[in-house]
Amino acid sequence: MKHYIKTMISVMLITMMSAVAKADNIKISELNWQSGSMIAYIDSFIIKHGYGHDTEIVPGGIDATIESMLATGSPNIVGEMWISSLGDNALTALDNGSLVLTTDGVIQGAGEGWFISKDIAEKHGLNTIEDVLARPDLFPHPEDSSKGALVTCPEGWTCKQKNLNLFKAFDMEAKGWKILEPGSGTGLNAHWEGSVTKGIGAFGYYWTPTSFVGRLNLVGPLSSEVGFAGEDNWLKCISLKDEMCDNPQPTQWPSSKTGTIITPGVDQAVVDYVSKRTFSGSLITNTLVWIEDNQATAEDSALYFLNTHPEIWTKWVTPKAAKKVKASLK
Amino acid sequence: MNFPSLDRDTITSFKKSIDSGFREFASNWGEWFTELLSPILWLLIHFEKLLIATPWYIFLSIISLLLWKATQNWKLILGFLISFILIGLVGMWDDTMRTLAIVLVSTLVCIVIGIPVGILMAKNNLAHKIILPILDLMQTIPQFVYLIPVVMLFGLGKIPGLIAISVYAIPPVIRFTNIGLREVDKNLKETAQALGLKRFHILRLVELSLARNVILGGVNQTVMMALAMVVIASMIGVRGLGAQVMQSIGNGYLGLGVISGLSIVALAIIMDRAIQSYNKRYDKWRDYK
Repeated sequence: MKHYIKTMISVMLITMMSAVAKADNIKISELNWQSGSMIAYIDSFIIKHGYGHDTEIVPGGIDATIESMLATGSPNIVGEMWISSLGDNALTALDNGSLVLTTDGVIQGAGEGWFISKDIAEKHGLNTIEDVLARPDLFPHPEDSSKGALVTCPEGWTCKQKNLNLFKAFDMEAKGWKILEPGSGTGLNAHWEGSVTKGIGAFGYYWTPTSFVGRLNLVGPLSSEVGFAGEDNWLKCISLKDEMCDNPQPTQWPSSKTGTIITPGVDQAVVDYVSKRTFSGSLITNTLVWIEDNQATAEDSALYFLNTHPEIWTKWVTPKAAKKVKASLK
Repeated sequence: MNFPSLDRDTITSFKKSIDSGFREFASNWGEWFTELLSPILWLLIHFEKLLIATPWYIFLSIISLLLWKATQNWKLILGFLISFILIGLVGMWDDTMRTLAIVLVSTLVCIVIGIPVGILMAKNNLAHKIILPILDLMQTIPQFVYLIPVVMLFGLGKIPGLIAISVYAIPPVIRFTNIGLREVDKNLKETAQALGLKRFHILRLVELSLARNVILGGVNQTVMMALAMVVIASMIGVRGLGAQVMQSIGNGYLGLGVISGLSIVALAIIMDRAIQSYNKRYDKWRDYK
């Protein structure tokens, strides 16, 4: 009996202690692409060692993460969120303060859009979206080689809708094009990788800065002769579900804003750090190439960055935090 | 104490050499492989088109008729009709046809390759020793490991999907063929030999006939595993119910997930019961309880 009471008390104590720890626990969303997950690990390391909070990495896609932040208030920090890919309820939440946009331009010069491989672009003088659309024969669809293939975004990525709507806007079906769905991020990468290695033309969605674009020599996002056809067209039609976008106008992809989104109530010191944390596009690309060359994990890459670029990250944090982070890097 | 592993650079260069080796292979042979499998791609595309183009009532009648011929089990047919009508009502008809097409063609590929390999395993102990660990590998290696190389070789879509499905689904048919043949009574084989049958005839008339219900059990497992792989295959651009499941996961649509998931289940149960019931009907003498 005594033994039981002892165990019970210790179990209760442990539960209480972990509850206390939890209150101080900052959950960081690890988005499922290279720079997204690297930034998550950088945040985690700095917040944990510099500011003394327990951190937890929560993997997830954009939409699922935002939904979860709105519904449960967790994860607390999403490092590299692409503002253009936010849905309506996320934007409303930013307006009414249930979510906070801290950093504007986490990655400078980031952009998503349509890419092609450099070889094909140079060989056939394809510079704009219109140039490419005139030549479906150079980008054969694997299941119907008489059609050109537009590789879209995988399911669950908000850019999927934009691809479908732009497909309509540019009247691509009539021009001899067909959608090619990659199914997943893995599928999308493998498709680009395979096409470029085999020297087959590929045209479709990707984004920069990524080591991938550098390594495979992709050019893009391609511009369009019509330029950017206005916010109204983009936000009120192209970005919506295709049944809500009856009359999409052709347009090029807007250059993307990236931001860090947090839930309210995160420690102010951490917020200060996060709002200063920005990367130049070339810095990210270089780090990403290093990741690929070394087949590094996201955690490796975060440590690599922290070790090689103290001149950059020490400006983000207080001198005291910088000292602590430096000490734990050793 | 840490395990004395090779130093980081060695491991990295090893991993990179696999990468660049495979890239080279893909750039030299990718086209060739794609060309080689183009008849299967043709079959897949046209079978899918046929299934989708067939009006639903004709599809339901033809399959009911086939099921009746094969099983004479009216409960099964009733179950089939009800579940397919439900599938149609919730708007999953076309996707179910797409899934059915790729699952059936994959199963066909598995049978055409798997049964001869199973026979080889049963007849040749060396082959048995070599193939067994390969089957273990195929069943346990995480599918994501071979999804990327398959897409690099064949591009996105049906063919890489079919390969991913077949790699995962072929082991049961091979294993069961092997076991079925090995379990055939030696005395019966000797009798057949005494009656003057040639080896090929013994195989066809005696061994394969007697092992048939075991082999069909393997085919059944293959179909089930092919269906289970449909969701993974949708990650490399295979359309159908799997893609619906992926979409619902990606977007957090619970309803769509349940509907498309249950459609896969319905497909699986019907195919499973159909094969079992066919098996029972033709092997009545085995005295099923």
